Amino acid sequence: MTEDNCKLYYEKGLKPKRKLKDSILSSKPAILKRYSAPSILLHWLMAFGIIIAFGMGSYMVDIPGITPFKLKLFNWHKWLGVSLFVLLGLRLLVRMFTKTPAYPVHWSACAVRLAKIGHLALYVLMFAVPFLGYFYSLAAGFPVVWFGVIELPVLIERDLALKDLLKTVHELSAKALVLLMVGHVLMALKHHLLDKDGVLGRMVPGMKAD
Amino acid sequence: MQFKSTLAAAGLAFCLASLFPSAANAAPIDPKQSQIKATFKQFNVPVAGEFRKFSGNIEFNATKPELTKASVTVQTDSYDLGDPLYNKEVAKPDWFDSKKHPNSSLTITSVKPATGGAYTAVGELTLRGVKKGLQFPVKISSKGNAHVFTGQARVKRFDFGVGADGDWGDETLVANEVVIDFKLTTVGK
Repeated sequence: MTEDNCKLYYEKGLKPKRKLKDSILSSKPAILKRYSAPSILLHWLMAFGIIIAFGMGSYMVDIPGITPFKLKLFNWHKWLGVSLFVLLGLRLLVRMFTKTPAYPVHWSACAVRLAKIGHLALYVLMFAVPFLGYFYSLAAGFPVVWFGVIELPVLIERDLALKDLLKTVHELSAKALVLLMVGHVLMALKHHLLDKDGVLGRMVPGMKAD
Repeated sequence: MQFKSTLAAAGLAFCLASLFPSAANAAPIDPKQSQIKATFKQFNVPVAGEFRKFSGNIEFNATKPELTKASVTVQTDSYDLGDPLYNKEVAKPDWFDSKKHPNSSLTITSVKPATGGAYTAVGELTLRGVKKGLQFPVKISSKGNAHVFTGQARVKRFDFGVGADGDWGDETLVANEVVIDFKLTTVGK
């Protein structure tokens, strides 16, 4: 709640909808307007990382035969996937220890529920895609050595039947994740351009947030 | 007369045989109880493949190990990495060149006792038509009258021109060293 808003409320003789007590007791405003800086950073890092990993993955599987470039892409893809998995862990930690802005009060209960389901699904898929990819690689008999340096645990042995299954599920879940991301972007643009409710600004540094 | 001399010769042979009970004779390798695995590193990732087709004989001499002889022939296009794409790749001229060199062979010319009951095998490996001397540790155990030979040999792929030219000649991509783990069991009599 900004000073202007308060002034507006008092001028119109209205009571602010949100508890003023909170803003008096703590130095922080009662309404958190945007996500915390680490959350914003992780959000965008992961967004670009996922797009690159997906583009790489889609491209590399269509390279015929075995070429040095294909091997490089496979390795980079795995390194990126593991990195995104680690970033997701960090992001969950940040989310646990920082406050997140509440959904705008003018949203309907249905819209809030849809947004919550969508965000939960994004988190589930951000976990599932690298997780399945990791086990797909192990099942194929290729352990993952992160950045070519850190040998990650080989939790299962080569299993070619499992490999085929994991390949399918990894690819399907990756496609589902990207589709959901497209939906996420479209909804953000809808709020920004049609509803003009400032929701986009919560995640975009420098943009007006509400 | 002729019969008698044959009998005498047979008797002599029998006596000689009993005098040297360990006089070895070559026993074939049982592929079902044997395994030859080669592990290489690509981008530091250890990737293992198994040779599915191989055969050979081992003539183990327990009392005089230095007289031990062995020969193993491996079909190069049987190297199985669990993916047809990879299996096809390694048989190509860049790698094993399986069309020109369908077989790789290892001959052991002697075995020297080493520490801890182990042995050191001395022999030659022929791969892609290149012959190189090789020494590696072997452990020998017996299952009934079958012998089990386990060990590990390290070879350098560039020595044999395996993937040595062009893009694959980059060691940071595929390491030069290849580790061969084997377990060879002879057929018991």
